[in-house]
Amino acid sequence: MSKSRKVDVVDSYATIKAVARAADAHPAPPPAELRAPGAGTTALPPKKLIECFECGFKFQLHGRAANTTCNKCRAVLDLTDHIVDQRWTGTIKTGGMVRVLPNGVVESGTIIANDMVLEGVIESGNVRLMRRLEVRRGCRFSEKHTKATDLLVADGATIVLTEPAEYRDVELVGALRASLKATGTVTIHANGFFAGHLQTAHLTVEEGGGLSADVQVDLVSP
Amino acid sequence: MENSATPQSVIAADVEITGTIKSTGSVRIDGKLDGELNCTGDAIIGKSAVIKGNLAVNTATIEGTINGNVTAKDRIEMKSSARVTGDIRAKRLSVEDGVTFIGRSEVNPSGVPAAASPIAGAPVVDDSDADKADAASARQFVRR
Repeated sequence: MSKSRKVDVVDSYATIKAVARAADAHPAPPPAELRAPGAGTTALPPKKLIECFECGFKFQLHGRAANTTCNKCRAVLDLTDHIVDQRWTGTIKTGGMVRVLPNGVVESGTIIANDMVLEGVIESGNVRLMRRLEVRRGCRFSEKHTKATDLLVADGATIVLTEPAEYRDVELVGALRASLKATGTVTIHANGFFAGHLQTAHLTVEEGGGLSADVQVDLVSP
Repeated sequence: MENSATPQSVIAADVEITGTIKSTGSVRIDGKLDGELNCTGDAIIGKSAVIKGNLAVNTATIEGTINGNVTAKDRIEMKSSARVTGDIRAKRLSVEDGVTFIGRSEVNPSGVPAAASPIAGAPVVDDSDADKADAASARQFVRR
C-alpha cells in the first residue's frame, strides 16, 4: 500500500515537507560553467537607437536592417555603413557608421551619420554625427565643419582643438588639448591625457590618467 | 606590530583645529582644520572633514571638503563625495564620478608633454601625412 502524501491540515510543518519534496523532484540546475553556452538564456535581437536625420525623432530598432522608415516623418533612412578611402565630395546620409580611412579626405559635401571613425581628413563640408566621433592617430578635422554629440580620442592620438569645443560625453584614451565643455561625463582612461580648460558635470580619471588643466567639475555649472 | 593601513594620527569628527599640523606619519582627518597640513605620510580626509588651507602630503585620499591647494608627492585619490576648491598637483590622480572640483590640476603620470600649442586660425587636429587620392568615391558596405 502506497503512502499517501495528502495532508489534511496545511500548517508550517506540511509546508516545509512540501518544499523539501519539490526540491527533490526538481534538482538545482548545474552551475553556469557546466552549462552549454547560451543555455537558459533567451537570444534577443540587437537593439539600435536611431535618430532620424530628417526630423530628429529618436526610436529604437530591433535586429539588423539595411534601411528603415522613420516612425514620425516616414522618411526612408539608410542604415548601412560607409567607408571613405579617397577624396570625397558628395552626400552621405546614414543611420550607420562612416569610417574615413587614412587615405580618405572629405573635401566638401554633407555627411550625416550616427557614428564616425576618423583616421583621415575632413577639409571642408558639413559633417554632423548624431552620436560619437572617434578620432584616431593621424586624423585632421575642422571643428567648424564637424559636429558630434560625443567624442572619443583613441589610443595614440594627440588632438589639439584650437576653438572652444562642446560635447556631451568625452572619452580620452589618447591625449587632448582643448578648451572643453562637456555636459555629460569626461572619462580619462589610464593612458589618456587632457590639457587646457575643462568644464564638465562629471569627471572620472582612471589611475594613470593625466590631467593638466584648469578644471571645473560641478554638477550645476554646465 | 604596526599596521601601515591604520592612520597614526586621527582628528576626530568633533575636533576643530586652527593652525598647522605637521606629521611624519599618516593622518586621518574627520574634523575641521583651519590651517595647513604638512605630512610626509599619507593623509585621509574623511567625509565629514572640512579643511581650509593647503595640504602637502605623500598621498591624499579625499572624501571630504577642502578649500585650498593639495600637493601630493605620489598620488591623489578623490572619492565621489570629495569637494575640492583649489589646485592639485601630484604624480598620479584618480577621480571618481561625483566629485566637485574647481581649480587647476597638474598631473602627468606618463611625463608626456601636453600636445603642441594650438595653431591660430587652423582648427585642425594632429599632423597627418596621409596620401590623398584623386578620384571621389565612397565604398559602401552593409554589416551583416
